[in-house]
Amino acid sequence: MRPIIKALQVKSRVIGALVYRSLLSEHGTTRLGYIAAIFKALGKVIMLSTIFMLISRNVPVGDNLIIFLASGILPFSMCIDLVNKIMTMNKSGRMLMTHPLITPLDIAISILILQSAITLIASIILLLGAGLLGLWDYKIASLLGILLTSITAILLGFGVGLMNVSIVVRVPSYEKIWQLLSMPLFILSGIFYVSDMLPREALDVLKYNPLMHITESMRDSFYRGWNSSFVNQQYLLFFTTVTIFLGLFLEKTTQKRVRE
Amino acid sequence: MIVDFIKVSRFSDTKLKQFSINEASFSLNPQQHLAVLGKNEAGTSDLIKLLSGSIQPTSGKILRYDASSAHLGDASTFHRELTGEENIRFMCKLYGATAKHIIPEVASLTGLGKVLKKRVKSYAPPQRRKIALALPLFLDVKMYIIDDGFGGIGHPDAQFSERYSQLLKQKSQEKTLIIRSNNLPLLKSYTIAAVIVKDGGKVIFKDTLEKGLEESNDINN
Repeated sequence: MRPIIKALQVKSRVIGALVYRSLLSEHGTTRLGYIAAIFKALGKVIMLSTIFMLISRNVPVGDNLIIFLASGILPFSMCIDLVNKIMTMNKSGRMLMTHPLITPLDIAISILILQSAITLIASIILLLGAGLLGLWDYKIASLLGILLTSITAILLGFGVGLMNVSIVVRVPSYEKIWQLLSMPLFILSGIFYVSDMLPREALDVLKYNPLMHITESMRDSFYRGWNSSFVNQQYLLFFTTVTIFLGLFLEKTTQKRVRE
Repeated sequence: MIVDFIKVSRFSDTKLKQFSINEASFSLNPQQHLAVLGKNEAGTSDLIKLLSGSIQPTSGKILRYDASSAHLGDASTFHRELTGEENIRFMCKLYGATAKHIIPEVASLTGLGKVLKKRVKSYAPPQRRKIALALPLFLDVKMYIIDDGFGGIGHPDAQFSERYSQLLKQKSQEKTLIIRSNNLPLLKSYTIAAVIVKDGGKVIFKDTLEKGLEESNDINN
């Protein structure tokens, strides 16, 4: 038992050190980089809300546009940002990988922790702000649902990120291909609409997009007066589990190559 | 025993099936001071990496018994945008040491003091090197590695070099020390045993430096 405890201690120490390092350095050259990262997440929500208010679109669910868009953008960008950060970790953490104590997986986990913390803080600021401005009544349908959906979004991002970073090692041009592939995801993931508004034909395609399930499931847990008939938890969990295991497996097999 | 090599092999080129290390078996005792010799650069470099644990063997087994290691003079993990102190704090967290005690020690050995509060990108290369050399001496590791690939332990500041080698002499007594260098005085003043990596990856262990140097010169002749 003792060696395992010792190993876990070392791992958590290493990951803690990596989180400390990227907290100070990751986001730009200024000392307050991580505050900028939080406001970047908020900025996306506020910018989109302003545009949608200007073209005076109705709110599909609930009565406030900011809350509606935030409930889509925050889980979506949590997942996608995590994928993109982990995908480029071989470049950003190149100097760290050769260190005997640090493995690529440690770097990936430190990115996961930092990104989750940033999204969590951004969400709290946004919701409290909306509450103080009287745009939100501090009530949600299911806290458990929100937590589970967030965890799924994080795990999905982690799995796909590990998969992508391993593919990039073998096929460097995949990075560009992924950029092209992931561009339409912002439109296809139910950020500014819900499934009720779409025709059957569209839903038949979108039901294969796990991110669409995540945003729908997030709103289903957030809004008391609205239930999504679209969410297929079984598919979402199956997809996430498969990507996690595939990601970890591919990472394990390419790790040796990366560290040389 | 601190590291145990059991029939360790490693390819330097997987496609050509060229060995950089070929079936090496030897064990490293705590407090052993070992020279890594040989003209085979890929082999000696891979042997150091295998010892420190940053790469894994292609076949065979390496048993490690709490063998934490630090490269003296390795500045590659320093982040340019962070200050010297923050970089030291990162390394301390990585090795589980308390930065509060170590920062003053590094400051007094290097004589950098206030410079540590500036960002690393504003440092002159010798200043950065001073930190990279000094910091590992205060970390709680079992193994020091001196590698010509990281510039050995040389430094243009003679006074610092003097203080540094005194401290290294004292600190290395209770550590395992591995030196890959062609600097004979350095090898003679620190190392006792030697391993020689020959062309083709054959690894030979000798219990004295003299025998090791003889053996490594044999290949050249």
